Amino acid sequence: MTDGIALVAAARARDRDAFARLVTLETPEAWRLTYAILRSTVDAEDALQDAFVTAWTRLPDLRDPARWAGWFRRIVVSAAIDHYRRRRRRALASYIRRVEPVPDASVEVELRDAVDEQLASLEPVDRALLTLRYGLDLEMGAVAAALGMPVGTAKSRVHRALQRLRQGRSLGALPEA
Amino acid sequence: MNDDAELEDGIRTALRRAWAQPPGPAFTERVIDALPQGRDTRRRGRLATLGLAALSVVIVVGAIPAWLAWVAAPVPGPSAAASAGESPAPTAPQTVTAPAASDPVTERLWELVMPRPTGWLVAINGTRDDYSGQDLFAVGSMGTVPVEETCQAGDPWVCTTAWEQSAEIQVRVEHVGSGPRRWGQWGMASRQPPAGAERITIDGIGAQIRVVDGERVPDTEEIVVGAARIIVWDLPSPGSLWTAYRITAVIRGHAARADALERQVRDVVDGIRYAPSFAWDLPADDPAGALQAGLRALREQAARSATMDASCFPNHPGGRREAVIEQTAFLPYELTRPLEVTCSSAIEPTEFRRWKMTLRYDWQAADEHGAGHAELVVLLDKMYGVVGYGGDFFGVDEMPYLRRI
Repeated sequence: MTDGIALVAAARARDRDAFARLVTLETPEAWRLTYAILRSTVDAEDALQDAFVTAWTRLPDLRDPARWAGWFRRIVVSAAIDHYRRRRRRALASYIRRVEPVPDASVEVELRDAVDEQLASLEPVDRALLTLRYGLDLEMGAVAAALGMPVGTAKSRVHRALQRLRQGRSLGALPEA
Repeated sequence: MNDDAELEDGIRTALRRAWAQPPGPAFTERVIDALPQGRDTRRRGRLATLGLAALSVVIVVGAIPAWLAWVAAPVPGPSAAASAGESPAPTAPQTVTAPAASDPVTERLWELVMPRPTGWLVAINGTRDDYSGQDLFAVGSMGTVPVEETCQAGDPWVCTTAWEQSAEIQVRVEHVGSGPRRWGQWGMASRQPPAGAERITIDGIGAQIRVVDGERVPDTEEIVVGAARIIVWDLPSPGSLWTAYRITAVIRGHAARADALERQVRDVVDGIRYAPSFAWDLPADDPAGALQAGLRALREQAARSATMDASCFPNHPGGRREAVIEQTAFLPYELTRPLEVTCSSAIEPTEFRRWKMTLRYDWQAADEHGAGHAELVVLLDKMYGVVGYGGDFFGVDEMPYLRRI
């Protein structure tokens, strides 16, 4: 993490090489987040690029390099949701992006695909919440901070999202494991 | 395990396995290239935005006359006959370099980067009748902004965008996908081309084309009234085994004009480049390494299943090994009793820059069954992480003692 802080500090001083290393370092987790929200590799890449450019532009405002992780995560979520909204505005009909089914007929995979379908039906903010909480295993405080909402609001939204998934399951959309 | 914990685990699994491979070093370069220059980046950014907005306005203003000039150009056909000679084409302002009618504009549609001739129009949604008179932009004002699209659920699901140059030519680009793997690299790699189709390459990657004279769109029930010629291209998607792009061009012109229009649209499709480009998931010059990587992915999958075993397949291409197996590499199947087989492994490159791995069981005739063979054919694809492959089974119905679970 010390290396990370040093990189952030250097990037804040407009060191592009340091920022390039930061991009390489942050891309895997940030990519998972944008991909989970947008569910399209092309869109996720575009949103992630926007997030990095925004981060570079606003880096001088980040006073404490140690706060980079949460600060950047919030930019990533915001970029992905903005991208989603722009994309939605473009579409005159319903917009559907499907994740490729993995060609494996095991029960485990069927369950995963069914949950996946249910996740796809959630609002992007809820997908972001679940991705941060369960995909990246973040504490609720960090989840809420990434979305710029109070912890209580984040908790109740996660609860409602789980309820919706559970309802989908009780309707038979999710197979029993 | 209670329901909540099970659901949370399901979410974790779904999220983690659905994550596609993060972009590699080329993405970092792309980001760095996109960064604004200089120390006071925000101020410059705002100025750049203002400048870009102003430039866009100028380009739009410049492009409309260019478009009008193109539309008013004397070409055979009723609409041209009405406009030719009646209103001289406006001249673009001297301060603006509007694209000439023949210069293509680069347009990105999903993973396709296409050179679209200026003068072609972009239709936002639906068919010509739906959008006539609205949602039309002169090409040149769009730059490299992704073209609008609309999607429909179903099997296959389809996302569509449409371009048209005039009533004489319409081009539709669809992003198509489905679960049963009828489309994309898998469909093209494992099946013969449909009747009348010709295999071609676009940007060095396998694709197919069909040309028909008449009103019926090949491979569909769709009729396009007044169509003289319809051309359909199928292109694979770089990032997926089971999605594809279908480009349908409808030409309505007279014979001589139709040939010119066909050349124009063929130039557009021939000029397509993939972004991201197709790249070898596993080293192109190392079939043994690719086979080992494929087998490793398969065995990782097998380790998580009580009814799957891929241990008998040799790790080197062309290898054969005799074995008595208690389970197979097929899911969801199980062997009800051990079977004496010869396991063999083969691997070959495909025209989509992936490796195609074929794992085969051969068995001899015995009292209870005849001789035969069954195959697991796999296109290696690291996009899917731990699962690591997409494949199909052949001959499983003939395999003795094999039962679908």
